[in-house]
Amino acid sequence: MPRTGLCLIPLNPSAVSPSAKLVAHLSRRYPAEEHHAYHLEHRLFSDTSSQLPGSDVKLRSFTHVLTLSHNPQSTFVCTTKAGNPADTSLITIPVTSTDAFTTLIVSKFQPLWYLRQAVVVENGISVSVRDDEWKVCIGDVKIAPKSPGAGTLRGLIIELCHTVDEPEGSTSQDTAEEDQAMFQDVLDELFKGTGESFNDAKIIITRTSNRVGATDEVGTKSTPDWDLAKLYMNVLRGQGPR
Amino acid sequence: MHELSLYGAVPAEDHVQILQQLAGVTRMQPQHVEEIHLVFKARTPPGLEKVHGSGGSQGNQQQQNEIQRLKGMLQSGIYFVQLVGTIVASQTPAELQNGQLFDTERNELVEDRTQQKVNWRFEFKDTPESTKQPTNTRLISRTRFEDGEMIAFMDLFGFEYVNRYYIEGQKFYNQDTTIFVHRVRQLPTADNIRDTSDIAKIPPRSELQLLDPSEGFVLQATIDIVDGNVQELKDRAVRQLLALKETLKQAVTLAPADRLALDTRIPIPVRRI
Repeated sequence: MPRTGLCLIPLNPSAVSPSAKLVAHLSRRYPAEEHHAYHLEHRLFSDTSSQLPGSDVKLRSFTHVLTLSHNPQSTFVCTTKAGNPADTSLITIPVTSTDAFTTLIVSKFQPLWYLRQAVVVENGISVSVRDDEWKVCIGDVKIAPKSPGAGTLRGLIIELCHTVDEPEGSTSQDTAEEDQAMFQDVLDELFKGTGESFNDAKIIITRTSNRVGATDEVGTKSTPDWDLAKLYMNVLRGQGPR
Repeated sequence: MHELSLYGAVPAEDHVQILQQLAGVTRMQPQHVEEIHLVFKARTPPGLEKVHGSGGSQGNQQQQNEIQRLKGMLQSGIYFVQLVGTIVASQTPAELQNGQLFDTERNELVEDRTQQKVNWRFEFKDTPESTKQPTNTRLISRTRFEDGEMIAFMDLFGFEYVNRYYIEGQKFYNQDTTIFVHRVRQLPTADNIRDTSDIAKIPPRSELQLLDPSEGFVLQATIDIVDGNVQELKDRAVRQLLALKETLKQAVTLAPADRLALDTRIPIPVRRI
């Protein structure tokens, strides 16, 4: 099973994002093969009651609406149990219904859900390096703009997908720490010499479905990768205002 | 999206005749439709009492404004919504045409639940607009649910399951108008909430009791318009519906339904805040 690590590095809105530099570095240093465009759109709602002063933040529940370029035909909608963001329930809706459904939540389900943040990655890049062993996606996370191209910078998102199956017999217990170290090493190694340091980057790793090969071919209906969607929601939620 | 509609009653003894007339008017054969409707009710959000408690003079103007805004949000209406499942044959059309699963004479699906599947959608319908209009006009929203645990999702989304029912009927299309002649059958209570959407556990239609013992049907003529704020689209839809009403007036009387009979809001007990 492939493992995917995701990290989000917060950036100052006035900063220049290093993403262009990192992509240029990758393509110069490795025989990198560019894949599909990498983009996402994420809206995070929390229950309206929990926004009131004096409410217990730990008991907050969330609804995520996430469109991911890995699953271009569907949008994930995820709700979490109050007080336990790990206890989730996911469905998919057609990507064409995303805006209408979000509008419905904002307008007609106001007593239930409050829009906390809306972010997008618009012009991200996805490349394969080391003979497809690693797939790297890089993009700028921006606050969802009213017009395309604008938007305030929030951070840099890097997805590392190790497409090679892990050795047999290893248990997730043993490998969690090793994975962490390996992903950290790979991240450092990939971008060595760019002057960017990712020592503080917290990489969250999960096992995801095998999605080597094109999931973005029009007309094919692929099974949604629930674990990948959860990973993204987790990381993007953590970035939101507390 | 907005839905404009007119309603009429079709007594059981007129049913066949009306279908024939509609087939003539629309120049098409009736499309048989069976649907499962699951009704959900939004839970009342907690926390209004906290707004009251945290009021007063504390906090700056910005905080006060924010609290006012939240209070407004919490006090706006909550609604009943539905998950609607259209029952379709799980086989390909080629197999259907061999007459295996489709009863061509009666134009109905053969009732073998193992050969059927359900396409689900989430349906929100607002209460019809209160202005005096020749049709019922209301905001609607439909979203197809493709994959995932939708019953568990609805629970965490803030909606509790209330009831379910079954609709059978025939659909005709005429220009932009959908004409749906249908009636409601009651569905037995499921043992487990997760079974409510399980097609395999739905008894055959003949075993489901009709809600209306007179066995009558409702005729609903509907036009969905993409944007209800565009007056031109609205006017055109109204014109089409009224023209249809005129065409069918010998057979069935079409009129707007009582607005409050179509109310989807959940009554909130008066809160002293």
